[in-house]
Amino acid sequence: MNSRMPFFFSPAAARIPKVLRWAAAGRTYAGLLLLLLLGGCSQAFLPPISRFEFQTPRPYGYLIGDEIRHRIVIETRQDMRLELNSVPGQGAVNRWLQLNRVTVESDRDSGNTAIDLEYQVFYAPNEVKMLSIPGFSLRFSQAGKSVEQPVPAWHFTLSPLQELAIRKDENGRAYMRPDVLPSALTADRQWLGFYAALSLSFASGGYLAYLYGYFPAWPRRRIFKRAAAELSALTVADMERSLAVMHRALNTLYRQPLYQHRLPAFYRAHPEYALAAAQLDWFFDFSNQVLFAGKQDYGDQERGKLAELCGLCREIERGSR
Amino acid sequence: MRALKHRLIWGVLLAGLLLTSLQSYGLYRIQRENRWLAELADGQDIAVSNLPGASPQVRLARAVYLRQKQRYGEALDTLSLLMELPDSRLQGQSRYNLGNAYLAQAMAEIEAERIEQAMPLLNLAKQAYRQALALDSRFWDAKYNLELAMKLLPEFDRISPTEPDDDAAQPAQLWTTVPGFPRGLP
Repeated sequence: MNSRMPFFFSPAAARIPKVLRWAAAGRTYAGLLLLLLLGGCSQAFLPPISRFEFQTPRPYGYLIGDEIRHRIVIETRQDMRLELNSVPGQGAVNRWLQLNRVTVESDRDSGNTAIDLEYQVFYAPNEVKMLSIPGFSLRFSQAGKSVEQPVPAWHFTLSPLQELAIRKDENGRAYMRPDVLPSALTADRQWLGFYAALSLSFASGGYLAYLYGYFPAWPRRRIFKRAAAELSALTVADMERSLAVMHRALNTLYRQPLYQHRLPAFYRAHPEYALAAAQLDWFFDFSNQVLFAGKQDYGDQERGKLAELCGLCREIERGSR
Repeated sequence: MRALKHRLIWGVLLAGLLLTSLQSYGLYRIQRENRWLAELADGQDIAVSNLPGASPQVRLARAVYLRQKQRYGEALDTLSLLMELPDSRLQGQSRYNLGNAYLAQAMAEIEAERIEQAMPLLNLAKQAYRQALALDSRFWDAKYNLELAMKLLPEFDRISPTEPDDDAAQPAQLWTTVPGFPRGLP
């Protein structure tokens, strides 16, 4: 007999009457159908609330004003929803108990719900006293039906801070703790801000001083500054000396004698001075006429143009042009 | 571009100098207010004209000074301005000092045997201490003085693990208290 073949189709089964064979097949198929139904509807057979944990702190050693935190962890079927109005609301629970914070976290995929409750006790016992935080019922709904999960009352003991007889001070009054004096203001942040701002000022001021040629250690930042100072002391009669001052300044900047035909190379080395190209062309022409052609007919206008050229070069030198 | 960079450096320098000036003024102000705090702690008043621009700490210190001089009305007025501070620590301290002002007044009334006048003051003191403790549950002095105020004006309670609390549904009925001023062992 083929072991994989069902009994009622096997040759051995052929010897059994047909009615009995059909009955056996029917029972087998019914069993298979029942198994399929059970497998598909397994969620429906789970209890509505599969896990309930009431996590509480130590139930003793509390004082007036202390906070007590409770945590409730519940695992339900995925299709159940917590009715939020069944969770205690923030505020006064009774005369001596305040519910300061309520946090509900629900994970719909896993069906887990965590509820955090933060109570504060304002009870002044004369001796160690047992009190209780009232219980309540959490309500879950599913397709119009609701399921309740009771949260039990929680008992704890509260101790007094003072002895029964009221302590007296030196004036015979009830002893009370004194006022709180505010602590001195701290200036740490202000000092930090002050040093940061001061550093910024020093850094930018120092850089500007460098650009303006105030540091003798960097003479190349003060070439035209010195030239301008020398020119201001010379008159029209000293035109040849004035031209020499300007030539010396340009030669120092270029690090070699600068002639008119070398101006393109000079602009490649110092492109910022291309801004003064027209004035430099005039300067070299004028210088050639005065120094080599014996030109004498110059006056304040030429001296002014020379000072203007020097001023422009000075502005370029310090980066403001 | 070079000119823009140059102007930017000048701008940075001016901003730096402005910030330096502001921070210097802030440091001067802190030093001046710390001096006022020290003067108030030593029992010397400061000019009222200094208060408008002063920090809340100075106002709080002046309220302490006023209460020590038994100028309760002025102390309460000063403290009431500090109730909505964003700094919860300072707000808690203000509420605690407010509770102390009410409690000291109530004890003065009790000494003068004006019990009726003392009761509302004690209730106000309890409320202020509770608010201070709500802001900081580890405020030990507030716990101590709240307990004292509650001993001076006990609240009836029917709380026990076996019996339900009748007041559970009526938390606001504080006037159902019976005044009592225990002067020793019961």
